[in-house]
Amino acid sequence: MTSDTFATIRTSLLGLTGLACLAYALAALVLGRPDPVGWYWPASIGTAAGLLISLAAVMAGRARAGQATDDLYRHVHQRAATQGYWLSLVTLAVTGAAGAFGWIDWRTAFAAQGTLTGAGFLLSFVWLDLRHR
Amino acid sequence: MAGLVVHLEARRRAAGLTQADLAEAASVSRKTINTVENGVFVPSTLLALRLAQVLGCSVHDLFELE
Repeated sequence: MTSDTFATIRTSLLGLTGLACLAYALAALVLGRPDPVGWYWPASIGTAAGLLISLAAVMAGRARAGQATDDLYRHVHQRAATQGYWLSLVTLAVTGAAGAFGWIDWRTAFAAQGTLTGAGFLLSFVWLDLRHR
Repeated sequence: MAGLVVHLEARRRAAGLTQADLAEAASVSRKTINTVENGVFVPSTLLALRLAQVLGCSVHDLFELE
């Protein structure tokens, strides 16, 4: 497996996890309940993605995985963390206001905010990674 | 990046290397080499030194201020 293939697998899995988190959050907000599907789905998908990325890293080998985790990866990761931080502050204001005004209950706001925080970072990472290709 | 002139691609071609070859030798991804060559990503001092070492030249041969 080349470092490019490993990086593509990693980005794809992080993107799928981000989309799953976003879908869960939107479903929670639209349906007005903290568990629009099983509550364990976002965590399960994230854990499975982590395991698959680890497996891909082992298959690629230390050198290839290291190549794909270089300066550019760290740069993209850092920028995604920054974007994710600001996105989570924005969504916190929205979910906090929705909870405070009684539009959704606090448990739903908590579930939506938790998954939106994950989605913000993960989808920012994928967006920035694709822009640097 | 404004203000930085990158000669990496010319140096790499002169050495008869592909982006993948240089990436392999410098232990980075081909994408990193591509973004450095296109001026999208400014490498760290360490990476710039490593690229110069692989290509057998000085960092100033690869990068210069406008």
